[in-house]
Amino acid sequence: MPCSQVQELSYAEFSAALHDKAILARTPLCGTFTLTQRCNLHCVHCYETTDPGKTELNTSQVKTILDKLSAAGCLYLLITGGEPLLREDFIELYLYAKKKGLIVTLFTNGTLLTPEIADVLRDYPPFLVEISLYGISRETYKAMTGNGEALDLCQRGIRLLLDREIPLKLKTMVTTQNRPELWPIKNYVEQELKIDFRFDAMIWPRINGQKDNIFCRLSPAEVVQLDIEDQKRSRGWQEFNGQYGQAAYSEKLFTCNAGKSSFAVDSYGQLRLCDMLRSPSFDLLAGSFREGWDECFAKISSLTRQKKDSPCGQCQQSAFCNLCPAWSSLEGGEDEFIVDFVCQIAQLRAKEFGGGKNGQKRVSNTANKRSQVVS
Amino acid sequence: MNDLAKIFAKNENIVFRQVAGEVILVPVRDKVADLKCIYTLNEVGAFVWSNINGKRSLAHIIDALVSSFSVNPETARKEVSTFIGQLETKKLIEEIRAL
Repeated sequence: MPCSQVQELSYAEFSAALHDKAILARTPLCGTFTLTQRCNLHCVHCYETTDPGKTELNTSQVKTILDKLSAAGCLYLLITGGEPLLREDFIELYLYAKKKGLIVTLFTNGTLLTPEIADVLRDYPPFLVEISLYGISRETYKAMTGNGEALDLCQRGIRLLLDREIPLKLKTMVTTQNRPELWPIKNYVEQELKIDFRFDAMIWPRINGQKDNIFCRLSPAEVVQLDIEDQKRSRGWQEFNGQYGQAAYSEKLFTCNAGKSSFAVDSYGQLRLCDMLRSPSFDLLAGSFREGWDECFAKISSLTRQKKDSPCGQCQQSAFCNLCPAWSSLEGGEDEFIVDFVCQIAQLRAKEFGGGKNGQKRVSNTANKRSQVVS
Repeated sequence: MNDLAKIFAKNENIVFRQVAGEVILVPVRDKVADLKCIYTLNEVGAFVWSNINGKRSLAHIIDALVSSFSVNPETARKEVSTFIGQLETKKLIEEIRAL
């Protein structure tokens, strides 16, 4: 008889092994649940939109979907929005997810956090809360979100979580509006608040295909300049290059874990590969999670690129490239559309951090390794 | 006191999950990452855990284990005793009654 001992693993060991197993077994381990696509802020860069023709999931429907995804094997659940705290039933839904044995991360702008919500998060801790801090001056915060006074609410929210020692990280999207304040934000978060901070300048089009938000993108050169100026980011790219810099162009259409171990559900109950890839989708109120996961997404990992004349096939910098079918579809209406913004950033990153001598030919999930550099 | 008569109940703030071939005990009220640990069970551990229900005595659970696995009663008793001790130390279960 095997020994019936309780194995006590470090979290990192456990998580890494479980992710590998989930991909092999095609278990939907990691989910993103957009509880609402509504928001109390109006950020310049935001990709989210609401659909006036649809009705947001009610409390019972969200719980039904949580039951389904949990039964299918989801362990890690990211609750996001829109602004998820806009939902009056947020606490009820959060506790329901926790009591299903889901390991929950919460993305919020922090402005709607109250002592009551913070107490619940203290008593039933999330794995992590990430708050977006778009500026540390009211002027910049207003330029980013449309509401300068909301900065005070955001900072109050941060304090409510810090006071209760709730696992917290801060982050910001970087646009032309808040670029001058990026390093002051970072210093404030890391030096004064003493918590981790990350930033992201990769602005996506809106999920309905509109591009009225991408005017606020930095130029590709400015994006890579941020990588150069940030020591941690710069070191991350150098290490990435050392391991994956010469990774060959992949014929696979999808190189991330979407549809292999990760998925997304929107506030209307549609199951998708990720938030950004709008098709295929499956109505989780009309069928089981397993139907959607198997019928809609099972073939995803075997799809290959069809554009044989695409310059991407000859690209030597593909390891540094963030382009994916979701981004191509949103920006150009087809799976393999080349997004200049993304392509130029890849070229510049390869020029700055790449290097044939140091780079090794390893093709192993570079999409996820790339995302780790900027997280 | 006869240890085999002890009855245990699961900590209601621990959720038993089976994910990607792993049997995991997920704490609801503790910080998963801060604890630096998470609990996984092997097949026998999962069997014993599933038999802890606030009603069955250890003797009952050992009998069930002997019936389901190729193990002699003495080995089963030692294994269950060790396992229960670990679960109790980690506050994953609590004794509710000793006859």
